[in-house]
Amino acid sequence: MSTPPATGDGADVGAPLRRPVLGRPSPASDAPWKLRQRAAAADAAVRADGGDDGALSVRVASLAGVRHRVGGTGPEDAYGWCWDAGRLSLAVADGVGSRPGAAAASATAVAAAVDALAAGASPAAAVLAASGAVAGGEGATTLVAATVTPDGAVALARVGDSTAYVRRDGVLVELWVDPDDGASTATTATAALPADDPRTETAEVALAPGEALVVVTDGVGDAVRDGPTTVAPALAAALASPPDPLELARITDFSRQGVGDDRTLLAVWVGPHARPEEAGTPTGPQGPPGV
Amino acid sequence: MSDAVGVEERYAVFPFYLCLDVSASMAGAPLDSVNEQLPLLRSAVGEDPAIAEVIRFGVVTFSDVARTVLPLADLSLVEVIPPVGAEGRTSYAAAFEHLRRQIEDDYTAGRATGDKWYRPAVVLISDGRPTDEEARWKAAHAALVDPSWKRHPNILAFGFGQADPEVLAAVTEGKPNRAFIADEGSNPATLVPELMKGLISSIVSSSASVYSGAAQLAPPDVAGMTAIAVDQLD
Repeated sequence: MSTPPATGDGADVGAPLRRPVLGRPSPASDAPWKLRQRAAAADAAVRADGGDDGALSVRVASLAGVRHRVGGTGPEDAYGWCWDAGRLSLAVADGVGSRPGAAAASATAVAAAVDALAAGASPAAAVLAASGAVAGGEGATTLVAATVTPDGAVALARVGDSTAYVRRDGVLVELWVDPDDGASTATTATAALPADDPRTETAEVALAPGEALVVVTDGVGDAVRDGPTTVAPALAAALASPPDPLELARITDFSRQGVGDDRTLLAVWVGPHARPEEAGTPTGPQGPPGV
Repeated sequence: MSDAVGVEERYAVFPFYLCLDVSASMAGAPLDSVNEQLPLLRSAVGEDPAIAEVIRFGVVTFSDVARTVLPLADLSLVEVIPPVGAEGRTSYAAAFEHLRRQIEDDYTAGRATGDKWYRPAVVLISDGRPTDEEARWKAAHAALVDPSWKRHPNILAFGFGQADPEVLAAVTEGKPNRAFIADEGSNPATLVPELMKGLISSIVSSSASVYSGAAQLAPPDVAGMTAIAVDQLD
């Protein structure tokens, strides 16, 4: 009668997926998603990807924010990369505001920036190329464009409040100083593309073996900054080595009050820890299940 | 307060204060409408977790004196918004002085529990001119919007009846699309419900902007009211 149905040999699907709660929980995080009128793979509410190639590994999770999920709209973040000729070109963007065209602007900017980087442009030049590409549309977007080579050399440029970290010695070290001086009232202005003279900030960093570059939109970056004892250590721990992409998506989908923006986290590891170590289990496509 | 930026947990919230004129002339249809509409606002905001999570809402009334009838709260935790009743005259000075103290107190209390405020919004609804001396309410207003005070709110003002467009424009610092006046011949019994609907939509849009990472005060579009043109300032 009330006996649960047998799952059969080897068919145990395990515990239901739970998003981690980091700080005060967000009731909206667990609210049902509204069925969207139109949807396609390119604007899925959950996107996860990654891959390994010898001395370099990539993982990305990109999630529609709570507000979009409960409102039945798609995400406005975008990401992309190109792995070619020993150089990884990557970009992450966040469509600004809820104006029409925000999603298109971020996707266009990412595509243009990755193309420019792959063709040999510097990150700052890639930002300009992206600005030109989005100038024809309605929307605006932030952008981080970066190149990584397997020797750990990283060059970056950004416009707006998307940001980047190096995961070093177990913690996330932000590459750009946040303009917010710790002021008591949150600042809201953000630079964006298109712009005739973009407020581009650049950075260069050398990754040591085992260290990772972590590029995020503000849906992640604000939470890292506001959650120094919760979000920051949890993400740093999850990125100790390249996680399974679905595991990264689950962690990036943490529940935290007031953090309802789209979230994108793209990480690149170089060096001997780039590839998941086989830890006593049969070699498979999956990495270790987090830390 | 603390120099320990970087080790404290913080949570973004967007405070909204309804600042309601309860002078004697608001008796009858205007305040009856407000009392009918406040529960709708409570449910529209409080029962949507994505909105309630980031909005904090409080109600301040003013006549001869100002008082907080609903302390700033998460509306998902508020069962009833107390009804408001008509009192005496129309002291804008009392309202502004009270708001300045209340905002600072609420900020301090919220900060202690980890709240990170977006700039607070004050929505002033009035059917009259200030009954205090101009110098007094202007001084109270100047203290409220003092740019050197970090918590100085953005103000939206809605006037009908005897409200003075020039005063409302001054209250909103002459900013475009912040002060609204009822169209000629409008009836408060129909106007106030529209106004409250507009307030709800303003809160909803503003909460959405919090989630998009660029919080801003979204002025409502209220049927029967027109934005006071900036050139009406003088």
